[in-house]
Amino acid sequence: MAMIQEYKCPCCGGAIAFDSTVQKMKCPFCDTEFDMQTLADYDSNLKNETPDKMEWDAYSGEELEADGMRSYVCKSCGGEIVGDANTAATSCPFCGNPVVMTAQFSGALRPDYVIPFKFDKAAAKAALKKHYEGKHLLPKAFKKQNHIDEIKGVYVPFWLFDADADADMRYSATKVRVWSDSRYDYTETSYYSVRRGGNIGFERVPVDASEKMPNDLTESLEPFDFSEAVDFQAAYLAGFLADKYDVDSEQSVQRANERIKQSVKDAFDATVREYSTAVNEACSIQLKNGSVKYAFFPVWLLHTSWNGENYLFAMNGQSGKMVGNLPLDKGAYCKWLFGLTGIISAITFIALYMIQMS
Amino acid sequence: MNTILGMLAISVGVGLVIALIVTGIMVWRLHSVRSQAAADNYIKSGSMKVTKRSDLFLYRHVDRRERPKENKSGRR
Repeated sequence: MAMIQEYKCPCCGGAIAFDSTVQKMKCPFCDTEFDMQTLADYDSNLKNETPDKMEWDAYSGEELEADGMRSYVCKSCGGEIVGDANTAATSCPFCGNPVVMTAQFSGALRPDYVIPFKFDKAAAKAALKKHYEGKHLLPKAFKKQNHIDEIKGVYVPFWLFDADADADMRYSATKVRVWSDSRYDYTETSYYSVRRGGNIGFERVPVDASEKMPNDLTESLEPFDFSEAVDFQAAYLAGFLADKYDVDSEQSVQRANERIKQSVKDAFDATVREYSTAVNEACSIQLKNGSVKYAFFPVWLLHTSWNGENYLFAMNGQSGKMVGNLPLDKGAYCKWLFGLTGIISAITFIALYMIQMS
Repeated sequence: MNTILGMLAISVGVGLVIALIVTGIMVWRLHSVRSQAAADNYIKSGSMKVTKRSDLFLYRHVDRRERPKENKSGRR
């Protein structure tokens, strides 16, 4: 049986969770608030606790773990909590108390940083409504019939890559000069071989470390403001869901490299703007001083369904940025296309006719 | 008559192209999930230094084209 942690209110014994509004731990039963220094003390206490030993754990645990599942016992009600091998924070399905699987943060699995939630569930719902506004091609029935099936605050694991990039670029470039005399138009094209070299530093390029989260979705939520990150404390996870990483940093580094390479290219391309054309012919990038950090970033996930299809929306739990693809009303699209074509054609025709007549 | 038909064809063409652009933008706004191509947000401020800069001239090509002669009998 794996070890879990609940944060109990020292005042009333109720399960407490992180409150994004006050940025403190808050007991929902007696409204007592605890500052984050208290959480640091909690964490240090956790390290000294020994896990429960129960003979029947091994039997059920082995069966479950064979399927990649883990079971835990809720310390409040004794109910069984089943999670997958990566579950790091969840809530008890029987009593709803938030629990944190502390074993998922031991040793090398412990994140370096966490950005706490700044927006709550109500803000996520409001942001979704706002996300629908001003979208003229969104089916009206989607707004009316659509309901949120599930909404959950999730700490998504990210790898953060730091590196300095040494770049060596070669371009084939041209400068064009045009002039005329009484008989001819002249175009002079001068050809150059251009080299640019230098270095550029990157810090904390994020790559989603969760298999479950689509990479394009998490990249759409960027940027996260790292200046608000704090040293990781498990107590921040209370009341939210979290998974430990299941895509390791070596697998993620390729994505970081792709983005770094594109940024380096763009930055050095900007140094050859004085040419009429410049085509990159060779690009060599050497990374040095590379390092990787592990962090948890806050994301609200909202699942909705309409016409038998599922739609996933996500909100940056720090900035409030909402993303998610919406369905297209084909009928409305045709109306807009033909309507606009008719109006613009009429205006253009009148304008041409008046020019012709003048 | 031909002039009118020509103007009508041009008008419908212009109208259709602009309408396609406008509705294309409206469809694009429905999609907000996109991968990030680059990592510009994560460049260390002031960290870029260009240490090597060479611009080697290779050759030059001049293209000469005769100018169209002015049609002095054309409409004003």
